[in-house]
Amino acid sequence: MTPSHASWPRRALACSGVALSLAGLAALGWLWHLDRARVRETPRLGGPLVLLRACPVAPEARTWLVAVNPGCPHCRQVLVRLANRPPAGVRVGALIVDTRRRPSAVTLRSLPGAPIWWDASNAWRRRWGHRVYGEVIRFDAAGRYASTRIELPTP
Amino acid sequence: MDAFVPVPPASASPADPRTRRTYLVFCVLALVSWGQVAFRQAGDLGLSGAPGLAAAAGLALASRVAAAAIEAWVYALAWRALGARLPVLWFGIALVALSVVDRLALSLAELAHRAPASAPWAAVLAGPHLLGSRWLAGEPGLRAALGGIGVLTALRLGMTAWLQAAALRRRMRGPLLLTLGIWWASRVALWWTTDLIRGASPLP
Repeated sequence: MTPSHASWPRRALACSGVALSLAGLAALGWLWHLDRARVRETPRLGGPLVLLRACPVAPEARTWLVAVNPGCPHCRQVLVRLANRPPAGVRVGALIVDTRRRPSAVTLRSLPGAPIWWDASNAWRRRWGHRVYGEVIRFDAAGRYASTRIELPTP
Repeated sequence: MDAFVPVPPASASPADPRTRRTYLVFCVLALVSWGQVAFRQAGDLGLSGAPGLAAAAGLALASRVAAAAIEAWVYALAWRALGARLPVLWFGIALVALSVVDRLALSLAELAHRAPASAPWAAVLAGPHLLGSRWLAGEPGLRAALGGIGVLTALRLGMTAWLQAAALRRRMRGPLLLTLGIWWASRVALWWTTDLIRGASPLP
């Protein structure tokens, strides 16, 4: 057997590996395209979100909601930081996401700020297309969606 | 271009014991430097106590070595498909050594964060992401993928291609084209993956 014959199976295996890698990249691109083409709803307060803790009426106040998963220490830190020192004219609360069961009283007590909404139907992920815990969803005084920002646990 | 770039000398091949020693020395230096970064970052995350810090630093170093191993394996696979055999172990060690360039880019990013006046020239070397989040603000995935392109990236790619040329005793054109192709595919994959992870959420 010549050296070229001896190395042929390895070369064929390598060619298969390269082809698989390229196919993987193409599949990733296809997923990315599908995800980009999805129609996403604009976030809004009210149904289908469930209000668990209301806050005193303040007509001129804007609302910032931190997307919190109760099991995520990072996003809880963001909530604590913003709720303890809210910017002027802003009420800081939480949107509890990726939580199938209604949050317990203990969980609610551990979350500062108000209002606290529970995303019971997973609208945050499925309909709005958001995916990063700890992001701050901002609404104007009329409750209309304004923007979303990422806040770090420490300023 | 290829006609003007000679094949790297035989002494630059990893078959030469002196070249191997050079790779190993720079590899150890790079690992020590990354270890220092890992210790500092573990401290910033609030980890305290020697065992916790050592575990976090060890994990960071292991992931650095694993990344170099995967990169070396990808190049070896591509060369094998092209009918050449790249010595994957020594190429992987050389890639760890070459990560000192990435370490330099990280230092420049830290400098630009501490002293914003230095950001414009640091961005030339380490990429436009140092100019802040306004660059490609609407496309955070693309910013994550391409934000680090600068002079240091060109140096890193050129050195990666040269290491292959030296190991395979070839002119630069083939290794350079392959390096650019693999690098570009990795950037596109990072762009798409970042977008899939974040969805409609913004990034810092």
